[in-house]
Amino acid sequence: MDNKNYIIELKNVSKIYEDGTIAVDNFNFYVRKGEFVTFLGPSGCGKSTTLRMIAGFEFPSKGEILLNGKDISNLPPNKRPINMVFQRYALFPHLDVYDNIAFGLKLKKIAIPLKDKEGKPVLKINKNKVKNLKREIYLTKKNKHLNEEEKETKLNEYNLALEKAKTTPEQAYKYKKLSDREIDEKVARALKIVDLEALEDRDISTLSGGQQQRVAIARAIVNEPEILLLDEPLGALDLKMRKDMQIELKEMHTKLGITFIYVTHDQEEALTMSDTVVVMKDGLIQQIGKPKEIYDEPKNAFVADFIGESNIYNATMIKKMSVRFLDHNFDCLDDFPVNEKVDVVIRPEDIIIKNENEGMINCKITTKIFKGVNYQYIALVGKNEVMIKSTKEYDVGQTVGLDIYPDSIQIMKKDFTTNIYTDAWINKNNQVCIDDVPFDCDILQLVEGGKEEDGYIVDKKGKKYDFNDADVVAEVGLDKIEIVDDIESENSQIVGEIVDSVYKGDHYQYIVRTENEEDFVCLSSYTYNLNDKVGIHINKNDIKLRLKKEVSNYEI
Amino acid sequence: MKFSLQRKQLCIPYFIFLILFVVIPILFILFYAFTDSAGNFSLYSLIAFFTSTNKINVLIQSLLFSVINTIICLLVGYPIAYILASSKAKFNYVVVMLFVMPMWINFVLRTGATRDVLTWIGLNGGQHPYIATFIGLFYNYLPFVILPLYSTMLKLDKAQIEAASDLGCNRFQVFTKSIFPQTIPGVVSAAQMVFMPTMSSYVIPETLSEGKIILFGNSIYLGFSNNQWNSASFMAIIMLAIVCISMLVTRNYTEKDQEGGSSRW
Repeated sequence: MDNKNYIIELKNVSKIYEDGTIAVDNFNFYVRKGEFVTFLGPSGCGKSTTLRMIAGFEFPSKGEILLNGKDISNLPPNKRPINMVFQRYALFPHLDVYDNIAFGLKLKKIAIPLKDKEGKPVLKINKNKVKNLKREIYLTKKNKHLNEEEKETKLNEYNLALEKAKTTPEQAYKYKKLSDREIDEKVARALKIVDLEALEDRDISTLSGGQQQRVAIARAIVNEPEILLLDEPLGALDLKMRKDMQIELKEMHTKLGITFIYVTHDQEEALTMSDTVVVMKDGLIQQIGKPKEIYDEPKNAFVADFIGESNIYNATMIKKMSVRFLDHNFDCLDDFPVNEKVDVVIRPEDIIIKNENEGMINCKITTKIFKGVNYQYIALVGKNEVMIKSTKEYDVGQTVGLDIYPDSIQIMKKDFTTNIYTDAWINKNNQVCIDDVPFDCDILQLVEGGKEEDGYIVDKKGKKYDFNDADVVAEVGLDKIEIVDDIESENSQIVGEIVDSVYKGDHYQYIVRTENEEDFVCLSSYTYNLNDKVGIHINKNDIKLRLKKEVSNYEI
Repeated sequence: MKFSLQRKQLCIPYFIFLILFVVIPILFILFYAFTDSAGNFSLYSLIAFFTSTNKINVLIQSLLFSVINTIICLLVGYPIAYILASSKAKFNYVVVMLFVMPMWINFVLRTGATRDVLTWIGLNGGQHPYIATFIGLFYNYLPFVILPLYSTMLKLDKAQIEAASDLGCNRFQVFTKSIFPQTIPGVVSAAQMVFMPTMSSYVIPETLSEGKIILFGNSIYLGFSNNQWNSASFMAIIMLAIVCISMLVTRNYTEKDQEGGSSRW
């Protein structure tokens, strides 16, 4: 089998909470043995939930988690060869450093194959296996998220395995605890790895944050897990300590050879430490790749914006391998259909500053910040802002030329070109209801040459239509949705929260999410912060409607 | 005119209160405990107390009552507090209130009602003094156990519990190795809330056993009401000493809790 190297594999894993929120949506992913993988994303993107499912604190609603090819989806955490380093360390305050680290070892039991007097292996029916299978069957029966068919196949599988386990005897084991000496040795080794040799008798409360962090790591690695999970372990440390620990963790990873799965919202941390980065948003994987791939070739505007600083612009492909933005046609390496609207991303350090008129475009520097290694400039090209990093010094107000070479232009498919609402409907006042909120609209567009008469629509031939309750698809352009500051005013037709914002040179692209989880993607040149409550206004003529059924269905 | 109070001046009322209602009464008790009826210094009360088997028996019986009542209350209150604190249901608060609400009714009235209910179900204090008294003590002190336990359990560190199971604990071990150690401060303060008040309780045994069971509190009361101020004062001193001892014993645990709490954040 080619996936023998996969230590853990997630197949179609979804986690849906009881209140219906989807934390993780159809996650497909694998980790190779010995790899350092990082889940990266903003808070609430499902990265921690995924980690907790691997640890066993949460069970997937759908899908399978395979460890070395075996399904462990419903195994409790104490039966998994996986250990975790917690966000706030979760050390036991009633135990000292030694006992904290030895905690797992003292519980551990080693299986020794039972042999009879002649040295032949003793065979017994594996009661534990039977018990586990019964539990699986019970859990599957109770799972609300599987459909009948999936349930049936799973149940059949388990029942077969259960019959087999009940009838075929297997090698029996007896279990032995680790001796005190073995525990001592292992704890000493773990303490050495984390550089805390002298502290074994100290009380947890007398340790500094960094030391507690090390104890937490030692407590996990001392059990020699196959996978070490780290849930934002450096979040509580100060910057300098965090940088040091990053390097140390990376070294530990090389030394121990254990697979690390790391969760963080800090992009720099992810890029420095990992072999593979998984960028997540809203429970969905946005991109999986090596740190460099993710930085250089982000798949969409979200990834580009989240990873590192970037200039993102709306652009149009004007001919093959040529893209227009910042009022200039640039050569590029990515091939997209001509005339397609795309997003381009250019890293600030990839833009080359030259003297006026020597570059491809000219711009005027408006801000200059000294950053130590280099200067960070903001320059204006028309109305668009460009962020540039350069070691050369220019003055504010100076006009300079810019060069952007094809290999530094990354073109991405637009994630949104228009807002489409497929479950909109017309109410009796001939308004369109999106997210159950009525919006005034031009209902006449549904009928060619129509006129309104007593609430009915009459076409050229005099046929009357009643569109009350008609299901329609409503479409609103991104630039047609207006954000209203005053949520109480008449202009504010629906209120939502800003959940996403991406800066695109001269404007922001926002996603406003309403209480009912309907998203409105809109453009605005004003700055809003995440979680700001705003109103939304759509002009009557900007809503495009399309009937789901034939027009003739509504004739009266 | 500027009118500003300094911290020192703000303390004065409390200071007066302390002197009037704490220090002076204790001095009075000390005075009576070590004098005879004529007001001369004497160790008569001390000798009388330790030579009277009757009084020593009352003390031992009260201690036993307190220990048993504390254990029963903890055994019953702990699971209730745990269930209330760990379930997400909205009615939790209501249930906590149901347990706490009887505490708002005057204690003497409540005990009288308890006696009537017990008589009605056939556990008349005259015939079953021990059972009736224990039921009364348990009923009265259960809320004092649930409240501190409930509040410590609300603060249980979920991550520590998860860490325990991550490191190989099964459900039972998670309880013994992580949940219980975390709740020890709550258990200690709950025990404090029950142990001493049970010892000095007076109305409950008096009412529910129809005077058949005499606890330390009753015997102090009897002393004062029979004008034996000196011996009663001495018993009050014994009581005070036991309070001090129990506080000394439990001090370590409560202090540890604060340290652990601060280091976690």
